[in-house]
Amino acid sequence: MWMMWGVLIVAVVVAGLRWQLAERADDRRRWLDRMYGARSGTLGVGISALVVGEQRLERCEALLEEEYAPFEVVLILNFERSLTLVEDLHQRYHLIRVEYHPSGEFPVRGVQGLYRSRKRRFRRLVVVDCRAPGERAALDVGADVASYDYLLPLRRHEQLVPGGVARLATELARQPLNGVDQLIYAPMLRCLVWHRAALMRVGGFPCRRSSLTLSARRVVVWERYLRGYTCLGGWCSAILLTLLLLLVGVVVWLQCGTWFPLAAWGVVLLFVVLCRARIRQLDRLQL
Amino acid sequence: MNGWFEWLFVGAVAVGCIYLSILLCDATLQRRRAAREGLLMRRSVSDLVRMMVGEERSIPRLSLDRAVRHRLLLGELIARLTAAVYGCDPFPLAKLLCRSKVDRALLRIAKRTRGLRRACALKLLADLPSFELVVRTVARYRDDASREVRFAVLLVETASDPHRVLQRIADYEEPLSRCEVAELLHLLRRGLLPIAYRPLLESENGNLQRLGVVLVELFAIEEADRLLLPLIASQDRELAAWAFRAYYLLHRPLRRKEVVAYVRQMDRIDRCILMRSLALAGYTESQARWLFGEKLMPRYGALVASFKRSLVCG
Repeated sequence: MWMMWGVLIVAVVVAGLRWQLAERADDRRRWLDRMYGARSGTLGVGISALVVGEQRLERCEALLEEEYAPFEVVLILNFERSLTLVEDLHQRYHLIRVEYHPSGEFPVRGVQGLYRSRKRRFRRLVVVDCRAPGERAALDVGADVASYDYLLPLRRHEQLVPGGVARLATELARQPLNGVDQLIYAPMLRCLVWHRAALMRVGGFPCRRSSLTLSARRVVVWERYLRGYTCLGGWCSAILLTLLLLLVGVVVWLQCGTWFPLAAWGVVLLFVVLCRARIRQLDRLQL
Repeated sequence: MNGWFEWLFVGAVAVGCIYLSILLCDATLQRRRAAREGLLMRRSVSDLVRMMVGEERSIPRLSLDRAVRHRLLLGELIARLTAAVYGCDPFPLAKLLCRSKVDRALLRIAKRTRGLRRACALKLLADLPSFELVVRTVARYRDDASREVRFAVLLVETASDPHRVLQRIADYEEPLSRCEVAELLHLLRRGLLPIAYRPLLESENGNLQRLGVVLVELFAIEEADRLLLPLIASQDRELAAWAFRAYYLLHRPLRRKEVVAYVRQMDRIDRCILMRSLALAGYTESQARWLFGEKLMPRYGALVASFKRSLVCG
């Protein structure tokens, strides 16, 4: 019986904590949305999105529609494998080939060409033809080509929420100038934004997606900035928690003669389910 | 385990379930009402714009006036219009807000909530034409535990009393972040802040100096470069970083002893980052050679060439 109550208390605390973090994240999103000063471009924060493995033109267009001014999109493609997309990009953005000069900051290999747009309105797009194997090598190439100091790697199927860049920039501008090495995205437990200096110190992008350096200059965010990913950790913990509660319920049903423990188990399960529903509702609001 | 504790635990969880259910239902209802509320806001925009430009002399009866729940929407709408318009007469808007009791609704929300929710309500008040009563009421939150609330109070006080803007910013106890300075400069668009940079840069107050630096950067005031040099040499590293950034964005000469001393104290990686920023700002190799020396010039040359976007022919 002690163990049963212990499990129930832990389940309530974990679910309640996660719910409160989601509420705070939503409050922070509302607060950042009210900071109109971000739109004036005086934040001193430039962000380069490094997009790897993309296959659709629409996603590139969605990124280029971000209103935040010091923002660019670096698309790293293997032209041999993305012929259709490359053709579409050439047609849509009037790309021309420009010289590529490695800066020496990152280990780069396999770069076949660098392309920019002839049109001024698309000047924030850079396309790199990179044949290097692996995502890490492609991101290092993107980091070498990028103009700004804050780097936002986006993998396949990951999309930024509308207005996400301005909010990220406002979040970074709350810290000292160039004072953030990593912005950690807590729902996925990974680094969402890197500072160029932090990457140079570790010699490029780390192999593991969830790798976090030991830098003290980190900011942790809970509000939703990405969509289109499967938060495996979140689903696993939710399923495990529900299974554990069901197991406790079965034990209670078999062992106890009274109705009260069963009712307690039912109330806790309802609480966990409602917390999960509220978190999903807040997520949808942020999208 | 004691019986009373079990009952207490289950009771608390049951109350939590009821509270969550109310939140879920409220959010669902809000989503369903969103389309209708959007329509009401769009209908009210044209009336408000006519009032703001002086075509409408009397205060119009808006669709948003009629329901209590719509007061906050009216406040949001007026805040957005005020942010998008420069130099409008705030008096008719203030009368409308007074009649609709928007400010009282927001003050009640600020009283009932904590943290960021209170800060959001106060920020909305700062974006609206406000009265002395509002400022007096909001003053109680000056010592709030949340930094965002304290900053929102500063914005409310600043927006309501333009004559004491600089005094209030100087009295603000914490060093302003870049984000907060950008928000204060946003008030400039409403004509509430002076744009005299000299007294700000020459001031001894760190917050006023920060404001002056960002003002110089925003308006590209090249003749302020001499005033930036002492700030680059200051002991406050954050202020020095801001001043240096403004200095090179103005494309001022790099052959100054304060600039050289500032760059000399950087490590190798920070200098590489700086090289990239200077190349982006458009400095040539001969201008940057003075800072980085011959060893790093090939790397700088590669950066400059990449940003100049040389075409590949053939």
